[in-house]
Amino acid sequence: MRIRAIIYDHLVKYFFIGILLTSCCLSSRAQDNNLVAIGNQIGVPSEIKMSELKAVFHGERQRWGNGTKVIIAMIKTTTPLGNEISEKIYSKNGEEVRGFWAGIMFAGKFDAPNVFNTEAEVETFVSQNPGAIAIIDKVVTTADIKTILVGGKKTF
Amino acid sequence: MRINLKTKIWLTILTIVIMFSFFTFLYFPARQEEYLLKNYNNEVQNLANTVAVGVEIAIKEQNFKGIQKELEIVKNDPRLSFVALLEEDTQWTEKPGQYVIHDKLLDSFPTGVSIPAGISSNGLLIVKRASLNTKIMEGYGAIKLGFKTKEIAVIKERIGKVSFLASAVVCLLAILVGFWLSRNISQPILALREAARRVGEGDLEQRVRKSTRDEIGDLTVAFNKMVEDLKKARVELNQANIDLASTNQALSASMEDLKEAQEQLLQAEKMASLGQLTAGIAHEINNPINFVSANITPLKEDMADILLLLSCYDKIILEKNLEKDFTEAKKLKEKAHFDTTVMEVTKLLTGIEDGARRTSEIVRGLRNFSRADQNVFMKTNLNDCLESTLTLLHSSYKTKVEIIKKYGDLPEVDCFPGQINQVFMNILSNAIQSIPEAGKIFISTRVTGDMVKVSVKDTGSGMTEETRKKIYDPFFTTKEVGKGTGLGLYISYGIIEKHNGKIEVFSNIGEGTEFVITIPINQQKPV
Repeated sequence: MRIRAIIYDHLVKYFFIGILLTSCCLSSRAQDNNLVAIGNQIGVPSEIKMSELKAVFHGERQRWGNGTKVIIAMIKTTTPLGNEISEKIYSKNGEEVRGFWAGIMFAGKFDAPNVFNTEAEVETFVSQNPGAIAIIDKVVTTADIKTILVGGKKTF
Repeated sequence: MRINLKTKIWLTILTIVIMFSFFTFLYFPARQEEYLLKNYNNEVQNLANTVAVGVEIAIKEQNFKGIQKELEIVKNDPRLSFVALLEEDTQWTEKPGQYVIHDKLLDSFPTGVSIPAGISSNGLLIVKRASLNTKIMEGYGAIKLGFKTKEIAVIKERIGKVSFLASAVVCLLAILVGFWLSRNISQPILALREAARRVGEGDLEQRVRKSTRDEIGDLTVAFNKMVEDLKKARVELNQANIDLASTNQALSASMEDLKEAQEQLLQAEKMASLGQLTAGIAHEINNPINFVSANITPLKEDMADILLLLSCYDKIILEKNLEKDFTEAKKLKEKAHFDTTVMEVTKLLTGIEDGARRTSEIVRGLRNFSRADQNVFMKTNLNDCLESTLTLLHSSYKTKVEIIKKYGDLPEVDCFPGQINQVFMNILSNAIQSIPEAGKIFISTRVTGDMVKVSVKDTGSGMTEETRKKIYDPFFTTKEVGKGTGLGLYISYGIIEKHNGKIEVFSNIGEGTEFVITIPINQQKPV
């Protein structure tokens, strides 16, 4: 009985390890090209370069080319999507992105980004605010939202 | 060192002003600044903590607008110098388990201002740090607030101005209080001192006006009461002194009267004794001299008869040539110088007669002078009194003084003859003694109304006005010691007063002296 119990414990352990490794592999593959930049139909260009996108999300650009004020909408960095965005856009982890934006706020260089818990909230915000831009993980095109091509691609 | 009250008041006020100024200018501003800095430090620290908590929550929730709002708390504060977001950088030292935390500046406001991560409070800034309990980069974050102390300096300057103004006001008030105290304390006390000094000098009319309703006012009232009491006491004392002086004067007068009475009594007894002695002597001499006076005339007649008889014998011898028979008698007569002897006998008889008459006059004068008539007035002729006195003084003036008498027809006067004789004796003796070598004494008597006036005027040396004023004083004399008692004129004055008369003297130096005695003929007042 004791041997059986030990074997059972090892099986359970390895099972979970296997599941964890599998999920990690799947996750890394999914993160490769699943981010999409969306924007309000008004004021936001339909296509921008990756560098421009990064500059926008680094608070280095205040207004779009047509003069509309840039409004950033973000999903919390504590979410997987937020963490992915942090890594791809900021090349930082979530805590570093918080620090980054906190620093921006301290300097008062840029309006605070609007941070949401879910993608739906992000979409809703973007649809309601001209000039608003956000990064999510799916292509959305509605009457108010458009998917922005980044470097000519919908996803990046 | 003597410090008067006014100086003490001003020194006290000056001390208070200096202490007040010290506290107002130095101590209180320093304490205020310290307090303000402490409060400011606390305030900045609280702000830092508040911002840190807000930022921490905002970061945790990624509510960056919340960070903006939290920062607006301090960004809108004009005192803000900077607000910085820091990241703690833990550096391990070479010693195991020991590390040092360095702050790394992430970002700050206002931008464009270089802020050292390790900046701390200095004279211009108050810097406070508050840690964030959350990681923002690789390490934990922190907030650093820098607030300018310019506000403190402004407040300090304002406090300085207020302090100066307060000090100036207090100084002004102190001066006013000083003058008020000086007027209400010092001046009344000085007035009291001055009044006390004057009272001490004897001015008891001094009063001090009560100007305050405090202890000094009470003192003023007490002082005035004291002076009033003192004045009353002095009046009573003066009255007592006057009474005492009056009593003393009366006592002195009584003593003088007693002394005078004693002197008069002594003199009276002396005169009475002298009078009795004189009367006795006069009486004893009077009888033998009466024999002489009575027998001298018959003796002269007998002698004349004898001489006539002898002349008749000589005539008969010569007519009848009987010289031879009387040769022996003639020789005897020649031998005895009979003619000379006869002339001598005649002269001797005349001399005896003159001597007897003179002796009788002296005796009569002595008897008149020594009359024992002191209790009742006696009718007396003053001319006789003068004569009697001159008789007694004859030996003292006969060689140098010519007496010129001008007696009036006087009625008999009511008097005490012995005392009147004593007066004449004193006045005539003085007149004789005032004539050093030769001179005259004019004696005149006359009736003036119901008075009799007797004047005795000499051509002696006279007297000064000063001497004239003192001649009736007892024991006053210008004679040599032992030659005069100084009581003669004093007693004479009393005797004339006793006779209700008066005695006057007129004298000039070198021109002689005149005494004029006036007494009533009839005495109204019995003695």
